[in-house]
Amino acid sequence: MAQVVLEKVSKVFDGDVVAVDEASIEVADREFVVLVGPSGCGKSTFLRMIAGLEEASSGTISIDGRVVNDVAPKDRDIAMVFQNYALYPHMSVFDNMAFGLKLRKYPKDEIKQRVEDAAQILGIQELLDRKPKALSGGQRQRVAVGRAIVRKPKVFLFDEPLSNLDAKLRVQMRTEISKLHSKLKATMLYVTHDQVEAMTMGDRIVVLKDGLIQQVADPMTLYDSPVNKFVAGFIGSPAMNFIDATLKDDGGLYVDEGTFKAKLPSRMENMLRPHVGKQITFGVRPEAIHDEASDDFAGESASFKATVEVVEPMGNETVVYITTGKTPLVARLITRREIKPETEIQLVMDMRRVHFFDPTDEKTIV
Amino acid sequence: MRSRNTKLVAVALLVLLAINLFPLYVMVSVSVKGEGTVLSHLYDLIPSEPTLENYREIVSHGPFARYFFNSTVVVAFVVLGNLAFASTAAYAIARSRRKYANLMLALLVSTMMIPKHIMMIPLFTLLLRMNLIDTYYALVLPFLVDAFNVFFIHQYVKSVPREMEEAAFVDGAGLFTTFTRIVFPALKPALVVVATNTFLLNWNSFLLPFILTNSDKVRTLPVGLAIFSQGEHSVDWGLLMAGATLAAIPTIVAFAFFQKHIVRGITEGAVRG
Repeated sequence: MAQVVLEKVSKVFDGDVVAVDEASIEVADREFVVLVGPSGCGKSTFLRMIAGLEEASSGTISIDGRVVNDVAPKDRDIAMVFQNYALYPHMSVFDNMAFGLKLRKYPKDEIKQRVEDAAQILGIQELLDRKPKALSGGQRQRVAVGRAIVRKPKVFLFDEPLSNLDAKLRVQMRTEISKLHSKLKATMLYVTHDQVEAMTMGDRIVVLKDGLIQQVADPMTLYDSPVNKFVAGFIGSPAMNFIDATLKDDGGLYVDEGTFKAKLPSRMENMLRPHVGKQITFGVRPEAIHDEASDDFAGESASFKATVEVVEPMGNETVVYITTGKTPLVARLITRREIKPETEIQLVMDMRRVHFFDPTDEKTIV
Repeated sequence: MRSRNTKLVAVALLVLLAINLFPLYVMVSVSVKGEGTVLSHLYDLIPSEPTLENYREIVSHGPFARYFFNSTVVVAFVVLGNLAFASTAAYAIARSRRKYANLMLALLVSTMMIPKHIMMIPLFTLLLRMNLIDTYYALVLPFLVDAFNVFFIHQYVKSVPREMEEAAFVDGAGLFTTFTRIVFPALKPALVVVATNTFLLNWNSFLLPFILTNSDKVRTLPVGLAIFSQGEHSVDWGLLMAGATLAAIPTIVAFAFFQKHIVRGITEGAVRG
């Protein structure tokens, strides 16, 4: 198994479209790294450069200590699973999985053994004689994964492999790929636009936007300490609320949103003092807003009144879309109390879990 | 209402079928009329005394077998050439990221607008200078790749997911293996259409093979039959039609065999293209 290192790798299409901009990252041996970002952020290009399907415009890509910029995909010892499965339609499942081994002139017995082993891991032993068109979406995806694992490559690359599956199957395959990772102990790079997949699967997550790496961190660090407003808004569902307010000093620092004021925890004061008197964006996650009437919440908090617009009862929690009159917000309330639209509700905001962003460069202040 | 429509369609189809089958019927019917009865009983649709004399005559006496062999050799090379060259050219153009690839396709397609007959004299002169007149080369080389076939396969290649080829590259295949083992089989419906069309077009081709050949050594069926059945002052229609009937058999068999693929290839091309 192997380490993957990218140093200042860029990809420029047609001379002026920058898909990946000076990306540097080290993926450790046996690590599961997820690349996540919105459509067009360059995450697939990033993966395709590692696979050798796109040439890097600049920078170096190394796999297992060897620079592979000029190495053909077949000689990089990688396997890739594609979004649309990319199975060979005229070959049986067995032949699809065996194709790579046959090209590498493995003995017939070993090919058979490896394909059967992979089929067993993926539960597709009965499908080996079928053609891809006779398989369901989930089965096709398993075959695509099987085709990757029979070769026992140094690095596995997954390019949005679950996007074409229905929600239930996606959850199932998600856990299966995670299990596969711990079983194979392989280095894996996984591209997705789905932040839930990123959070649940990755040892580390790389967040990309417009070809630039925004942050590389483990899921909880990304969630709790995003480096900028983009990462804060991208990770988490429902997304973080952003509130434009003025920072004021009245003996202690507080933010004035216009319809409510909130005092800040003292630990934040030093960092925020240079911004007193200026506009500031603060972010609060939906679960850091509580129902004053039913949640047992104590701590540094700010109470405010809002009008309920839409209520989404989920059973275990209730997602409430509210407005302060000025700012629309989303709150996840752990309450069984019936909340009705177009009523007023008294809420509290956990000020210990508030993030502040500079409105000019959108970087996190605290 | 619906059943009435269906009946109308059925009647229309039957009329169309009859119109299309009539010449074939006349061909077969004339071919089994005895010597001398062809012209005297020209309008008898059902021959009074059917005979296989014409067939016996054409198979045993004339160089019919030679024409048949020539046609088979020429058409086989032309079909194989079109499959090989049109598919590789189409693939190269469809997958090229260079800007001139589309220009090349446009130029290629534009050659379809030049009537073949305009090229007849230059082609003849060229082959004459190359000393190729009255050889198989004259009948094969100019027809090895047809611009329409390149265009047709090109449209089909566009519908083949690129990821399939990329998966093959990652699996360990080079460009040639990827083309021959992954792309070529995926193009099967288009290739069947190309093969059948090329076969029909060239098997029945008359004018160019007529101009480019001088001897029975390389004459193809349509040319050979026309010359063979031509008497000094008249045409032996019975003989000509017997030959034409025999010549039509391979095309009918080919169509019957590949009918499913031909229809699928054409309709898929239409939807995807």
